[in-house]
Amino acid sequence: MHLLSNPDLLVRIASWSAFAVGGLVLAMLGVISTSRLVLNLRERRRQLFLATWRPLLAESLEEPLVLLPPVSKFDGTTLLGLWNYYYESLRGDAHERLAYAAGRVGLDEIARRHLRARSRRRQLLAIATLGNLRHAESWSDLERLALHESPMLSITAARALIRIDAQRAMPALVPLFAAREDWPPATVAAMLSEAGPAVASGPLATVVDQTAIEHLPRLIRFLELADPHHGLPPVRRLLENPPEDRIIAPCLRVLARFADPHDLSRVRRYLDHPRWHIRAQAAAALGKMGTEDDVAPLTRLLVDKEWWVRYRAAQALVGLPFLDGTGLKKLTEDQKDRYARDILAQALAEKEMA
Amino acid sequence: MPASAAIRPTILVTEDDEDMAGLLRHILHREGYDIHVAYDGRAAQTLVDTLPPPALVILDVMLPYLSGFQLVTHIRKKPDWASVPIIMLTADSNESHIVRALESGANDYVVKPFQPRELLARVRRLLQRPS
Amino acid sequence: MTLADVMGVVQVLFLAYFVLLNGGYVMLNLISMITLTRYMSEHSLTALPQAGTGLEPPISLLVPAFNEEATIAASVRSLLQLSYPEFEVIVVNDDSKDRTLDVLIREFSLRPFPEAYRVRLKTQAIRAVYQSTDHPNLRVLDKANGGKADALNAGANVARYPLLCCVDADSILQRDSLRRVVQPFLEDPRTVATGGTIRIANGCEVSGGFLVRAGLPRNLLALFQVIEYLRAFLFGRMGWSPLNALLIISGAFGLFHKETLISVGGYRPKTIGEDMELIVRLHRVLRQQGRKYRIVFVPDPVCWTQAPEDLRTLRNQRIRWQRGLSDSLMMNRALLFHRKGGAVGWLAFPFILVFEWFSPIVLVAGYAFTLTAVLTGLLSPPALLAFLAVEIGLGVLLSVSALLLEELSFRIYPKLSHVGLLFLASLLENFGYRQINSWWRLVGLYRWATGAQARWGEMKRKGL
Repeated sequence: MHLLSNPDLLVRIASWSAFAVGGLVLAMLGVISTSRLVLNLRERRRQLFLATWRPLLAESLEEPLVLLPPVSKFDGTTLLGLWNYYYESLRGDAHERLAYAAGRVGLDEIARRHLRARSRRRQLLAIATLGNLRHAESWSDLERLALHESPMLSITAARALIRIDAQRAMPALVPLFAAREDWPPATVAAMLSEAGPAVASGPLATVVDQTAIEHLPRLIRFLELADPHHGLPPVRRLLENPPEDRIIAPCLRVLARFADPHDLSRVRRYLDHPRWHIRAQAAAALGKMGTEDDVAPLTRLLVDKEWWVRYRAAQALVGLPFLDGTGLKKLTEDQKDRYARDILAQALAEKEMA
Repeated sequence: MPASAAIRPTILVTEDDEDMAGLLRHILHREGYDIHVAYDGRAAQTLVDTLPPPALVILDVMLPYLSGFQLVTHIRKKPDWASVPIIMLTADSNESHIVRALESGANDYVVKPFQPRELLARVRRLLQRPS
Repeated sequence: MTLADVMGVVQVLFLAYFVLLNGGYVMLNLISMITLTRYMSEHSLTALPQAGTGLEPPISLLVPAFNEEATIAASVRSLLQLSYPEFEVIVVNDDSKDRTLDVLIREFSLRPFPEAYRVRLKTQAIRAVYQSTDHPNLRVLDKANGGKADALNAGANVARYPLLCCVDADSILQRDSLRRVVQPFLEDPRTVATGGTIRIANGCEVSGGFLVRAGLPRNLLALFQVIEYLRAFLFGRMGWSPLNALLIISGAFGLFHKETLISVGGYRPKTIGEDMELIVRLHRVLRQQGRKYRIVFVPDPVCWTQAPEDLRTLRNQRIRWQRGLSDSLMMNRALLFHRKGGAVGWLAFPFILVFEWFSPIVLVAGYAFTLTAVLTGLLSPPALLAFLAVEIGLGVLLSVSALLLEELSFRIYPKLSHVGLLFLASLLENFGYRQINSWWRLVGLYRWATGAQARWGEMKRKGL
């Protein structure tokens, strides 16, 4: 029908487009089939490799194997994955055994090569490996990567630095802990615990003064992981004259964490603060450190207009070690306000459930 | 170490991760145990219903279909399995989980990451106990 | 002007619509391809056990249930098996007429719990809160009937955790779905909502509420829907997400920042597409307030849903979707070209309005026009053939590019023969399926227009 040379221009364009589209479809199908075949081959290779290496690595946990088969460059990523998996699942002297096996196969060299890979996954595996191997020669590379914009990459690098030398890593990392809002607080907390309070406390306390006010609430929360000698003084100082309301609640959390009786008056001061989340936090703190004198003020908060304050106050009362079941029951019955009774009943039921 | 192959005690391992299962299989096997691996909670339940009771059970808490807790309850309900020692393997150091594991009938627990030697020591201790 | 001239102009208009529509899809496709490739290389460290233990914020799962006595126990059991460090399940029994509540009470040893929850979203009365004694993280609400949206709002009121995950009781979830959809919340504190890819469960092997093996359905209607879902998720949604212009998160599975959800008023009761309406409203309200926020789509498969296999059910579903789409767009029309509307107000909203909401009218008109043109001899058979070839070719191209995206990412369907079957389906759907779909959506538009008029009349009388 001579579609491609049809006298009507539109028809000609349409016909040519149809052919082009058809060609594209075929090309895409070709790409899909090829990639499927390649992947199947790769997967088969991976399974073969794992079948050899799972028992080898497991055996090397028992006795150091001097002779390990050479690793082809196609299998490097698989080995990094397996080795790291075992490393993260085990602890104790299994780590030394794994490190010894790594030395025998030149895992550090494989990891160094992967560090320059284009694939993010390979880079991440490489960073984790170098950290687990305590590979000090890679320090400057890892330091650079800890500043990378990708949270995954930078966090993994920071963790690797801590594993290599926590003492040396902390001063550079702590300012990042405060400023990198894209690093999940729980992840940072895990890194700080891994470094341990002996190493983390000093740098945390020092950096409080140099931290911009917008990052301060975030940083203060990490002081909970410091030891009391370093964690408490900056918080007490900040509460003398709080530069901003936003920092009060995190400060109260730190005080509750260490539960030093000297701080009781500091906490009590905030039970009537106009901001409800500060009242709630103060109530929660008293639950951890309060005395008999705090029962009355906490009871008063049971009728607060904000639900969270009532809830925290009820939880605090229920959790006080010197109030037993009968005491609490009497307290509940004494409440004339329905809100107060309901919230206490819930807190009691929750405690029983736990 | 158990000597002859004829009396190798059996251990039932439930673990959904293949790398971990391979590791457990290997370290337990060379200690002289025969290993059955179930890769999910349902498969484990089937093994519990069909196999004679093994010397010991190692259970992962997080399993597909049925959790380790549910499996413990199931095992303890079967008369011939009721006294089989159970070790829970958990990635979770959450205290309430551990308490719950022990309350539902587990004999011991090991938190991941774990030390292979520690696991073996616990296995040995539980197997020496008179049943 | 002769008739031929008029027809010529109309023809050009249809062509322009067609070119813009496909051009838009090609752009979305390119964006998805780039985003997806990057995403895949960023998010595959899951092999390491450290990636995801105890770092994630706790999640409250909300499960509305209405007359589900046969399946509810199995659904809840599978939800309790999700792999996530800390979560609670809240089943909301929306005044089922069957024994849903009794089944729950029996199966999970529920007992009444004195919960002094806060009514932050107004809902129908809650009659009782139950707590499971076997599972400390399972609670059940029993409330007066108010519909799905109302049930979800009630669940939000008693939820304890900062993130809410709203799921359908009959969805089959991927075991690690929560870990996957929570990632954007970890990576960017501005995230307020996330959703993931929904797949069709027909033809898959399901056991104990979980998917064992992915497969393709034998039923042709379901197979066409597999292709539709691939297109819709892998570039329909994936393409909009990096522009922060994602307008739909499926009601079958969505994760929300609780405070934000409550601050915009929660789900709107008595709408047909309450899931889409919520997302469009989130965009509108947060844009109007000038708040920084992100609504993110993760390409990971999170949930499998049963697709209708008969025409009647499918027809009703599509009519309902079109009405829901209409409601969602109209109720939030202030977002369209809003001063602070950003990419969603200036690109996604207009695109969806013109190319999805309005498209059944254009398509049906287009077919009618072509038929007339051929019958009156204005369009020669070769021309018809050429235009049809392009139309169908582009449709197939979009489907195949969705298959390519799938190949770049998750490769759910393991065998090469699956790819072949899907390709065949993407050819076949052009002969009847797409047309009948457009017709159903046109019916949906008509029902919405007549229904909406009645509602507006009502509101005027009430002086709103």
